[in-house]
Amino acid sequence: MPSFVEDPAQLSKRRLRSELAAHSVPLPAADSGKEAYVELYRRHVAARSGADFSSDEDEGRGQAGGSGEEASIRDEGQKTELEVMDVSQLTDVELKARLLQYGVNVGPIVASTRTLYEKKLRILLKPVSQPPLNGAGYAAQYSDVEDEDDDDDDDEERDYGSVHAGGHLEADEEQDQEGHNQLESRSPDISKVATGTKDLMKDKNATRKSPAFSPKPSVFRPQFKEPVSDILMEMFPGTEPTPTGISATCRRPIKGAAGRPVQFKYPDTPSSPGTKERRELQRHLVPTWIQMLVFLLVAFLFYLIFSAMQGVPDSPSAVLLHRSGHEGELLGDLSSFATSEDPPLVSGEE
Amino acid sequence: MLTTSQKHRDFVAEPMAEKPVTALAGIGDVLGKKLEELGFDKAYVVLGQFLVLKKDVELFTEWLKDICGANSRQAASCTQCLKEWCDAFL
Repeated sequence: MPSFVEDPAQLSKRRLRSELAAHSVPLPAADSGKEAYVELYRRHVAARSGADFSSDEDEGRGQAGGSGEEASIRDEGQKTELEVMDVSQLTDVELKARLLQYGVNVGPIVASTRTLYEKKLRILLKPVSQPPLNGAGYAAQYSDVEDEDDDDDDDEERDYGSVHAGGHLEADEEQDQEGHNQLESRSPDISKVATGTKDLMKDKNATRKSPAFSPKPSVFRPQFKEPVSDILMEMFPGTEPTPTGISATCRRPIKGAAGRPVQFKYPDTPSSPGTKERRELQRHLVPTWIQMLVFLLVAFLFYLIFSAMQGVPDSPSAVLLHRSGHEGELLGDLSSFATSEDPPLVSGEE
Repeated sequence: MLTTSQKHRDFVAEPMAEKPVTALAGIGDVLGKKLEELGFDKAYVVLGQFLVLKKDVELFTEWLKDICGANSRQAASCTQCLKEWCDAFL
């Protein structure tokens, strides 16, 4: 209801009472007459009318400059309202400068990045972690149906109990904790925003479930800037910290591009050390077997020839010699008949 | 992510060219449609946003969650996928 300065006497008693309640003025006794209401109305509402207009303008400006996120933050936060409104009214240059003070690697502040950097600055200004602002409602609607399992989607739905009933949430709390531990173990550097509120409960479970990542939940609560490097430092102690955060993947040579075979890009996954050995052995053994076989064949042939030269009785060449011997006898008989036939016989013999 | 999906490996194996946004790891049909409605119809447009944020993993994940309602796991997959692609080809 607009708080116009009209003659309160003209308003009904009920209207006056509602107006007073709207301006949070303590109502007089129910028995008191209209005049009491009128007096109170004149005293408080009239005094506030000027203030109301100016505060309306401020609110309007703030909302026009900021985004929907600001409204939600104002609902939750109490002490940082001034900072929140300041952030949205900073120029691009000022916003970038303030972020650089906190050591953030700031990129170009354009339309699509502006809200992100504003949010980041707000988080940096306000040390206490606030509830996550990501699409909690959306998590219930969207799910990525892929080869990865969808159980985590269901767990997230239950966690943000705004979607489901409170009783349902409590009943599945244990499952949520387990599911979230799986979530945490899979994406330690990202899930902090999503699971910020549940981390205190999960300290015990974290140590039980995933010992490798146990230090992580305790580090979540205080600040957002630090845990990124701390967690990754614990996980990958050997790497150097970069301005944007530790990159866990080392730079790989460009495989899989420009016609290079893809199957060797991830050599770890397809073959185990056993298969690698087998492949190598196969490469050596195949030619070796062939070489041995060929060698044996040649050796056998040589043996045959050598034995033929020596005149072993079993050898087939000896049989041939024997036959030639027979022919010699025949020739001897025939030669007595006609010496003129010798040349043809000789030629035939040869 | 310490383990990668087949979709991740397929994407990181070659230049993305004109691949649709659903080719990104972590982006399925639903999220893909949402992104296309917002104008991010090809994977390279999403890559553009990643690069404008100076390849900041944290910021990009947050952006992705805000803009299309991805959950932490999906956003992390997509970010990791893009990051590795950049390491290989950029």
